Amino acid sequence: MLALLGPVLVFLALRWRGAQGRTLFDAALAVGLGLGATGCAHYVALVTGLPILPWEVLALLGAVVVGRAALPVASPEPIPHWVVVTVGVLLVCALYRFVVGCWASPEGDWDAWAIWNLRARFLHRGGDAWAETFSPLIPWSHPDYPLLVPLTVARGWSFAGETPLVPQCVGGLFTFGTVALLVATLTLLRGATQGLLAGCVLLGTVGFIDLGHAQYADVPLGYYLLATASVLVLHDRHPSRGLLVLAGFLAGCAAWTKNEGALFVVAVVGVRLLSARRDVPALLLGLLLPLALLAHFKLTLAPPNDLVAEASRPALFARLSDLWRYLEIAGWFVQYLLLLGPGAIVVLFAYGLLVGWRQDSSAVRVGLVLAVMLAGYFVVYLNSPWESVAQHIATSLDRLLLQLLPMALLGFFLVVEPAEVRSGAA
Amino acid sequence: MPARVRISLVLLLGFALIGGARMVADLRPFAGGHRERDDLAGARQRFETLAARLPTEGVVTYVAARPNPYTWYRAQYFLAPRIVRHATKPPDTSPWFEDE
Repeated sequence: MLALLGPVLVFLALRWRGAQGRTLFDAALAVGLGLGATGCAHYVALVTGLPILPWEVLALLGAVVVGRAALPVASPEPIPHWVVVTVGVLLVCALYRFVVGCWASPEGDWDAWAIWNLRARFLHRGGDAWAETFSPLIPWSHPDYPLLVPLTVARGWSFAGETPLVPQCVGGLFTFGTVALLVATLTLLRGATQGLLAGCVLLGTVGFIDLGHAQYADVPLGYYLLATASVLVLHDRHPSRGLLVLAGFLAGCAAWTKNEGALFVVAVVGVRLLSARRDVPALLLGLLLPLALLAHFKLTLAPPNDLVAEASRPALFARLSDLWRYLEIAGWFVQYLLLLGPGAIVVLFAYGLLVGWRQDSSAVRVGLVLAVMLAGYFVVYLNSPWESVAQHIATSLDRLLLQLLPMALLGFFLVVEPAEVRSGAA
Repeated sequence: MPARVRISLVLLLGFALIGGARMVADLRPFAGGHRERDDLAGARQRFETLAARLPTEGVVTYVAARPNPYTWYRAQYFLAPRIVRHATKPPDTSPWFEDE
């Protein structure tokens, strides 16, 4: 319990004299705010060599201040009992799968122990030599990857000892926190039934739950993408500078979690620059702390990314001018998109056709961010130094798409008509 | 409730429930769970025994003509915060180990 102190404290602070009707949202938000603030504070303490506690208190207080931004409150509505039963059944299935996965691979799957938990061990055990984890002698451990997840796990171990339970709990908090955040956001925006339907789709996605117990950082990244998009959509409905600062901090945490998060920051700021320029300064204010830490890390500790370091100019030109490469990658994208779920896109499209579509400018912004992310992933594969781009795609594209799934579901359930409206009108 | 809304809900929730059923029924990804746990326990025992004879930090060399990624990465995981580097010949100064 002590290892997860950050989220618990943030939740209690958010609920203290907080509005009724958004307990689930506050709980889900506290996961990312608490763990994000802890990760930031731990890095500052490591770099400065000062005790972590004052930094942690400061970061958690900051998280609470931005987290208490003026949020709307859900009005109570009757929820069809069959939707609640379905969510309950799916939650039990997902929890069962998660526990079995943790039992089968207690240290997580390959990337978890070879990258994320390995780095956490260096940070936890290394003492003054913690920066040895970025040694060029172990390039396979991707020493350029951002540190939020290893810092969070290492901080948990400093309370609980070096037990696999800590990374398992971090994985579980982000996995089920993502589901809770999706349900809670849509409940605030579109009603509880719509939120629970979206939760059903995410809970029923086997690959998403499997990534969670595998302890991969794709799930925490997906959480921060969803959290940023959720808070921005709430800001569109109920404008507040506090929400923009909060969204900026959450987007910065995405960049502090995985390299793909930096692309997300560019996409979010770019889309806001095009559609609501006045929002950008407050967004940048929220980004300041996590991006400053990321910049310090990238400029002083991290070696160049392997995908960038191995790219030579003639090879780059050869790849970019190879038309078949474009077609091959596009073909893989289509195939993987259809297999996501599997078949989720087809089912969701059919569902949308049946219940009808509505206009929503926030959903358009979410869609634009998704499009920029997919285009960015496409360019990365185009420029991949791997001998076989198919092999590079086979080891990563499904995870990249699962990162985007929660945010895509948010956008989707904003543009479909709520089923209960149609039924009420009939 | 109009028929097409009913159909849409059956479609969506049915799809989600099929996913839920797969989560419980299809446990093939974990079929190797026992083996994985045994391998992990074996590697832990081997490298933690080795760790007891090593300095608490510094470089340890993994000697192999062709490194086995599993051995190398596992060794690094259990021997951290020491750095495990690969070489084809035993070094003169730093401690080293080979494939079993």
